[in-house]
Amino acid sequence: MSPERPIRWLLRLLPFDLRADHGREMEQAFRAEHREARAHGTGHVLAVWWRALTDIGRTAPREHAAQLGQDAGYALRMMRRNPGFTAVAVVTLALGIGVNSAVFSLVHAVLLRPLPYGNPERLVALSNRWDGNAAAGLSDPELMDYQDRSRTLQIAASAFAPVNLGAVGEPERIPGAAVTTNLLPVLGVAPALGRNFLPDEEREGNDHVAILSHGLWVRRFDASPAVVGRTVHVNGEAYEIIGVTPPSLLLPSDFMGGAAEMLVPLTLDRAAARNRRGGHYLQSVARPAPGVSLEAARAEMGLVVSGLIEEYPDQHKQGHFGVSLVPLRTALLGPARPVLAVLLGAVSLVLLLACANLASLLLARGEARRRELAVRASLGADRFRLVRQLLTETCVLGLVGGAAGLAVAWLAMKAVLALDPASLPRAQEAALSWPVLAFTIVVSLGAGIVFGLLPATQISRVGLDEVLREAGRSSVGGRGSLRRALVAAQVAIAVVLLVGAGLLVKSFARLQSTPSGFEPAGVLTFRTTAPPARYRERADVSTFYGQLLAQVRAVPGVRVAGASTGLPLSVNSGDWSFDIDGRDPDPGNRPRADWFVVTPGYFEALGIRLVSGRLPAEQDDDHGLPVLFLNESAARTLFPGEDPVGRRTRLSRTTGDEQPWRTITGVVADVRQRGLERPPRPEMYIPLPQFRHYMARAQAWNMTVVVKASVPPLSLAAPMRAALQRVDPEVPLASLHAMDEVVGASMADRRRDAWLIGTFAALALVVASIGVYGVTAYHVARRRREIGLRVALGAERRDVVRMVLGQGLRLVGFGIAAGVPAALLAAGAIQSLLFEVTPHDVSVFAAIPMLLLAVATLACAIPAARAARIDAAVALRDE
Amino acid sequence: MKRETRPLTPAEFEVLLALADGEKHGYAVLKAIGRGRDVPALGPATLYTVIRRFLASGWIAESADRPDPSLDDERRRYYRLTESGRAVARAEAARMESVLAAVRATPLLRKPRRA
Repeated sequence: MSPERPIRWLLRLLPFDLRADHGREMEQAFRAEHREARAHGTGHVLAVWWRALTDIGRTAPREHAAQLGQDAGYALRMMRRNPGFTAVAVVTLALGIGVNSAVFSLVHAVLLRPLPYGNPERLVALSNRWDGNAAAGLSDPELMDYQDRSRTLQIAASAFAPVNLGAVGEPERIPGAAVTTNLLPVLGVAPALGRNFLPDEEREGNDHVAILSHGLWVRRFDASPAVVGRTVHVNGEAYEIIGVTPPSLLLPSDFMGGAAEMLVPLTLDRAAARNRRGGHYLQSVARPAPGVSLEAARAEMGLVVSGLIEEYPDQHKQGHFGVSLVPLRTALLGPARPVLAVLLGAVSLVLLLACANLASLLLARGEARRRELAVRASLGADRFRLVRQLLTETCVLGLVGGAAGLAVAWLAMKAVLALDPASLPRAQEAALSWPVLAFTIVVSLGAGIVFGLLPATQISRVGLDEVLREAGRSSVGGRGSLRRALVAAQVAIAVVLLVGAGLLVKSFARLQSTPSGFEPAGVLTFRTTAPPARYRERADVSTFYGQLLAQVRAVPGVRVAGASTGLPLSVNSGDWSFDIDGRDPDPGNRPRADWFVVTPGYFEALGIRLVSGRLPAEQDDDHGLPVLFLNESAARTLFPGEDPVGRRTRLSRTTGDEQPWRTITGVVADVRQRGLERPPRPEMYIPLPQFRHYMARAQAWNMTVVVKASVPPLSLAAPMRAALQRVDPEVPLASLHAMDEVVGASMADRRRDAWLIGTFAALALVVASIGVYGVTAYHVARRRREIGLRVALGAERRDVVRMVLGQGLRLVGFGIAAGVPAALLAAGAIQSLLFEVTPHDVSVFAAIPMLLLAVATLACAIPAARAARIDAAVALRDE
Repeated sequence: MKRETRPLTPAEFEVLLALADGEKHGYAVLKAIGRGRDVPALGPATLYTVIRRFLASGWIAESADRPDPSLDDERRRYYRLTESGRAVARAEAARMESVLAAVRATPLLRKPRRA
């Protein structure tokens, strides 16, 4: 075997300098040794190879480290010697890297970490697919059918079920979940303490058992292991605590906001539930059996659905109903992806801008360092060596900047989480963890290379003669134009960020000025649950809320009060189909509307306008004529061109109860129920005493009380608690908010986006302006002599100013010309975050260049004024 | 420079020593240090880091390339001691000599008396 090639590979491990100087000789020596050893036999040849390996293996790391240490030490000395430059560079980098680390910590916490389940990549989200709704919930019978008929899937489900927790100190209303007994096993999670539910515990009578969340266990039970076996009151009934979940567990339903603190079994009354195919309130998760692919599971569920469509033609219509199976990860984290991607894009631009800024700074400083580098080159350092040394300097700078950036990241992270406490799942767990640290180091080094490479290759292109020849001459040359290109690039990046910010801010403003359909000022809201244990019958629930509202209305400062099962922008409902008297029912395609149960006073308290007929009143009780109220959307879509008041409708039968014919008695204005950006849907309102619906045991009656006050609403908090106490001391009060807060919370994510991108854009504007200022000032300084000469030859100050301004603004013009098309592309990418603003909004695209030109003019004005003051005689004498 | 104040490593001294009796190319230096062993103690990579350092310190200098008639036809680069290199080697030898003299004053190297 020829030794040449492996030896050459081995030698490549040595530092470039050593190879450049002595590579050929080392190769010769190895070859000679090899040749001699061969004469002595295989043992000698092996010994030579072994020696070559150990020789190079020992030498290479030592020499590399020595060189790196030398360069880094030199870099630190250079930084100390130029404190001004170092400070500017470190602060710029700290901002650029810090915001990246902050956003990455969010991305890591939300998207990159595995879901907190066993084998999470196998789990799928199972949902119904209706026309226009790709991920709808399941009803009890659908869940049971899917469970019974699927051979390949283990299917579990959960439903949001707030719990009135009693018999452990203060009664408290906590978020809870009613879950199928197999939920934790399907998720691959074992209780940290105690046991899981038994299959039998989903039957009524056996179902008074509860599993605590780790958080509740710590908060209310002092993390006592003795809690298992204890009895607590859940909605007024005695439940035995059987277990505690592991600390970081989030149920799939928790990713949509709200973390369930207590799990109770979802009771499925198989016989009774069989025919109630409405009520799609269950969120389902499934695990395919080992070896079963997602495609196979989909195919099987497709057959199951076909069977159901045949069996229940009233409910399910071919082509309008199906089941979707999506990887759980996609279903839970997909919604958070666009906004995080946009943030990541924005901070990348900020960092790129910081790098362009530093690169141009380095180029400017490189002018000053060229003599030093030329001397080093003349002493035998080759170009590669100089580039390596300059890059070591910028990487050291990058690392120092990155270290400072961690402080920025920590602050930025806190700020983001404060701006938006809820809408990104798992975001609150973001921290400066090891992956974030590793990311920061990589980004720091990357930044060091990015902003160092261009200047390094430029500056290192020196010859001693060239520098000496140039000495004393004020030429600008190629490096000047590179600097100008870098400044134009900064302007272009600033344009992109500013346009993005402009579009988001405009969206936010549009959203704020969207008519909501109600009047939030002076309104207080809170939620209560009438526990089914003591309010078992409809009449009881109705009496409870009647008494509560009477007490509330008696509080001084309360103008009007009412209650509803919903609350605009906050609590929603599903839809319900119905027939209209005098129209042929079309099974499978019946009219539908979202339904709410209301009491008198609700519309008045929220200032919702009456369009025709009348509002709900006390006369709409159990004995009165059954009535129904519609919103304008329902009236318009279901009764086009006619007044629906006086017409009769009947809700679909979903329980044993026959639904009565109800007379439409009033039409109210549309309200933005599901968020300001969602157009209103058809809605109907049913008076509480006349409501008939199957009430499952776990489904307690939740209503939101709405109070219009003549005093500051939050000052009524204590009187409201007292009023509730007088009606039932064991019922807790929850979610007490001024309606203004509810409106604010519904816009929190858009406010966050506008704020964040706005801040980045402002940062970009400042940095780019400094860049423009810097390069213009530099030019004025370099051209003092030329300007002086012009003045001496009779140029007016006006001409000088115009020349300097023109040069600076031409640069900005180039930047804007490059930035606008890039901004158009970027705006397309953030389209999903915009509201009633097109990605090529003319006013934003016109305003941003104007803004940049204005700021850049200011930035150029200072050096221009300085140029105008140049005295011809002085300038010429100085040279 | 710090390097010149610290004592020479054994490898460094061996290189200076190998060049003391006239100029040599790298492989010849290795052979000289190996003193006839089949595989010399020092490897080429180590040797040339030393040579590189000595060139930078001015202790050795390059002579013109030429083939070594005893090896092959390839041209080789020859190195020779400079005056300062010779002075360093001499100083080191003197130091070693004084150390050795001190050792001889002790019973360390005395041959055990025959019984």
